[in-house]
Amino acid sequence: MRFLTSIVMVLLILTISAVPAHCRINIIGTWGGVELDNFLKVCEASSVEVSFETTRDLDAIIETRAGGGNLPDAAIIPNPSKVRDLAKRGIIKPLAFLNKEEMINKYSKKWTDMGCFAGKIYCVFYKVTNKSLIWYNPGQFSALGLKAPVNWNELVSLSDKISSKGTPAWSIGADIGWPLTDWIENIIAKNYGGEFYQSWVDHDIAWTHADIKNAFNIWGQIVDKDRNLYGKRSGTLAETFQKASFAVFKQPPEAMMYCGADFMGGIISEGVSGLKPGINISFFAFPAAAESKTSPIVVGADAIVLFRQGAEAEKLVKFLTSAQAHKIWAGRGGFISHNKDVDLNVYPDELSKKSARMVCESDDIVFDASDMMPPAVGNRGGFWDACKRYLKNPQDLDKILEDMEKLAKQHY
Amino acid sequence: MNKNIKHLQKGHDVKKIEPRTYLWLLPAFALIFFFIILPSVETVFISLHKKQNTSVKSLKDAIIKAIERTGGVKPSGRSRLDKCGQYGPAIEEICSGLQLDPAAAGISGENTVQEAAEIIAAAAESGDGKKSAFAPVENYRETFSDPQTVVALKNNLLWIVLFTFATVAGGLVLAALFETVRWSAAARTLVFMPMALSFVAAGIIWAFIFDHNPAVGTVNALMKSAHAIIYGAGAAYEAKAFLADPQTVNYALIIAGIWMWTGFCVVIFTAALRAVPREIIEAAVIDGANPLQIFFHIKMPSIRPALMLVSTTMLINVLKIFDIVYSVTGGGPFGSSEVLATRMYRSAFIEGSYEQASAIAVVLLLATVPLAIINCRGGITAE
Amino acid sequence: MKIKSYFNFKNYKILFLNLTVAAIAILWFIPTLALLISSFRNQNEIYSSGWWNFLIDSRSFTFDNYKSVILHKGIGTAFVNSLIITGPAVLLTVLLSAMAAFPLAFLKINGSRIIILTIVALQAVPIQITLIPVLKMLNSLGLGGSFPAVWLAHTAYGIPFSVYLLRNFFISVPFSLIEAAMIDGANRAHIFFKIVLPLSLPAIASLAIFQFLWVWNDLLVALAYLGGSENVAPLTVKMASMKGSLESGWHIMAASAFISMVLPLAIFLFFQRYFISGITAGAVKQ
Repeated sequence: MRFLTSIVMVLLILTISAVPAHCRINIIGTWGGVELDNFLKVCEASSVEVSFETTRDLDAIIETRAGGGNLPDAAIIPNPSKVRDLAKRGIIKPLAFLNKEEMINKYSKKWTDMGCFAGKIYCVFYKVTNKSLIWYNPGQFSALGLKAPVNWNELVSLSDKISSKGTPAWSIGADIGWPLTDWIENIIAKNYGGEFYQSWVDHDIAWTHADIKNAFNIWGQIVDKDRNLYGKRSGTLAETFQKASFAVFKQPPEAMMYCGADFMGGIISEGVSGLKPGINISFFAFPAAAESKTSPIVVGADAIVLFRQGAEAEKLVKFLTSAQAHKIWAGRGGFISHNKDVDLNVYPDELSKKSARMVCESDDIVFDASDMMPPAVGNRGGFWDACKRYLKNPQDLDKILEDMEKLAKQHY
Repeated sequence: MNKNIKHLQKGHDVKKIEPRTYLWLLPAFALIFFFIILPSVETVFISLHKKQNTSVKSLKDAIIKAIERTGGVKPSGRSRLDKCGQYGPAIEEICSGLQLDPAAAGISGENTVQEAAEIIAAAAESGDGKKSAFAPVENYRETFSDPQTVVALKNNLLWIVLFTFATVAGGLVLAALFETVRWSAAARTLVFMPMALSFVAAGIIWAFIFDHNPAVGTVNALMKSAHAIIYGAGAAYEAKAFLADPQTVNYALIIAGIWMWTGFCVVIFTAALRAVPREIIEAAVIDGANPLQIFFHIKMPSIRPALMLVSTTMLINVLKIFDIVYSVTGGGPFGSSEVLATRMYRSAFIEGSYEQASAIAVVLLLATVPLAIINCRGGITAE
Repeated sequence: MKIKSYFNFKNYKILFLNLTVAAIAILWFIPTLALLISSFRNQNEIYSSGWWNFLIDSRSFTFDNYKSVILHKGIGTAFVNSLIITGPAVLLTVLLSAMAAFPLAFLKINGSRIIILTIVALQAVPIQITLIPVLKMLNSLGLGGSFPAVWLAHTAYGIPFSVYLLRNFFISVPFSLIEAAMIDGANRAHIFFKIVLPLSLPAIASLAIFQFLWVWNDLLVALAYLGGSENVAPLTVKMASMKGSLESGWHIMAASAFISMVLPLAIFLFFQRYFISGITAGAVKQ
């Protein structure tokens, strides 16, 4: 009995000692490592005490805790489709303390509208990603007398030229599939414009639309040739996006170009040592379609949402909309701001500056489609797999698009 | 003489049952009642109901259709961004269908058609609008007519056959084999080690082992060397992408699963083998029995409860196998390695269909009933 | 006796058995070895050359991965949190399950079949599906986000398997021993603590090992019921936050896997010695 009593005593003591302090706000998100350190520095500057919970299963944890009723105060969510879903179900609260006009002035109408549901602001975008980039090694390019292409046709002929000499032009990591969606998104945006892109995202036009089909076929001009791909089709489908990117920067290079967002810069310099931005690692913009005048760029962004309103949470969100909050992280690297008041000089390296300039100067941006569509359509099992299936077997395109259309009809 | 003796006897002669006996069971059952039984009942309940889902897209389409019908201004191609003030009758028609008051929901003439659809959807999802209707077969039908669930079901069967057999038989053989060497503790530790690793780590390990690049992937490197030995060093070797090929991915994952779980079986079998009374074995040795005879005629019968236990546990474990699949392939490529538990997870948390996930959980639960019955019988006779 | 029968084998048999066991053990260890070696390599080496190259050329040996994990801010707190979660969860599970298994194995009670049937079937309930209803209940009790919530949860989730395991082991405890104690006038608590538990030590040791592992390595229950905020987050949650959201971070993950594996492995080695006790250790001869 004494044994039992002592156990109960220990449990009681631990219970009492474990009562958490409630003076800080809890945020949940996928950030970790350096990006989390940087974010916490920003929170420090806002003088709001923040406790951050990192999880790789954000959707599952939010759903569970929403159902169970112990949500944290806020979340950083990478896909607007989830934000809209949570807003519709009343799980996240409108950010009524933000002035819409002011937001439009600081950012743009497009960015503000993207964070709105039913006319109210529900999220604030913080940390933008430029997804219209192609990474390459400038040293290698100039040694071979190659130069960055300005339109799609040049890109295709450049690929052929490189591959015909033996080194595959591209390294693509397609094991999960989302890096492939960036290709299709860019092609659709650049060939058919932002408005068409948006109706595709909203499923106002069908997946079987001739232009969507055509976009895949345009992509096929590059990926439908085994010699263009490092590791061929089969290797590409088995490779992770991180490892695929290293192939371009190894000595000797195993491929010459890699299509990926600006955050790849950090991942590549971690994985390959001795890279100097601008010298042996750089990027050029995903080229415009040959005949098109405008060239929208594809962006992604993380967004902060509130599950619970409160003075501290309000203070933090307001701070995150300020140019100061953007400057702090931008100055630490690995961050692109879409705030109009953030000077390009705050970026610590040339590549971030270049990417930020693209985002700020473009009057035509479109948001990553796979993040905007309902997850069942836009993610694994949907758009991601559709791109993989096309890469695996382009002849199946009609069937792939029919399947996507069926899926979209189910989930919109 | 002592009343306790009566109740302690398993024989059929005892008729009186002391209520105090149940106190021993109470704490454990109170816990599983609240943490497992109640949630399971709720799961069954949810799986029998269908929740109404209000889609913004279909509302928007309906509004635009209603505009055409109520003779409003012909909507332009971008009508979703039109101010809805001019489309009052159409909005009202949609709202009345959902028993909503547009003004109370907060729709003003300044809102766009898109926004109006969003407001209506949000209003319909909250409060009274969130109805769920009794639909006993709907969720089951939808779930199990989904080709992805069918693939998951097939994969689970493959897992059940291969994984259960390999872990139970392998575990028994290894446990017995290890007992024959002096360093059995060390050998057992090595086989057990995978169990102590987190699933994240296991995911990384098997990504290493099965990597398609022979420079990094262990299996491909071995196969490449073997290829070079058989066909000569110059022969081109076609690397296999084990985890990216729907043909091989399930086998690769099952190997990983066996690697992780055999240690569990070995530990329990070892505990059981060690619990065989030494006196009986000694007697058999004196009678001249050889080690194999001792194993099959003395040890095997006395570890029957353990065998039943391990087989049942492994079968149940494989029914709801999740972590290894989730952390190595996530169900890919193309959903070809999906199992029921990962399918359930996706249904509930990614596709937002908690009802369909519940249906899968109920099927998992039902699948164990035969097992439970066998155990019940086996348990009683294993005296 | 054991030693004696060991020497009764012919020499070649001993050699053969030793070699077979060695081969199996090595085969089983290779994947872990691959990870262990990788945890001492630079990130770019891990991605570009196989782990076996390290056996030939180990110049790239580095402690950096371990350093960055150990020096990570808050790792100490996380370790303590893991202990606070795991210790009571394991104790509670073993105690409550043994208590429940005791009458199921030895005492006559109504509906024992139904109880066993339930216990077996309940093992199949996927934890994911219980999360939301349980969370609701915990919150209504004011336990959400507290350690007792995870203790109770881990205990509850462990009970079906544990009761089942212990009962199956208890029934092989010779009934005559208990009968003898009864005749000596021992009460039930005495029989439970002084006879059944000591005689079932191998089973209890293996149960403790498994429950320890599962709780220690758990991520889902901790994130759902406890939340990942620094003052309560266990090691698994902390380690998941060490790499960026889009990095593969194999090097960090490899090192952290071994750091978090140390304690479960020590527990395993410690409890392994109880495998040889149990019935054979009892002084009672029938």
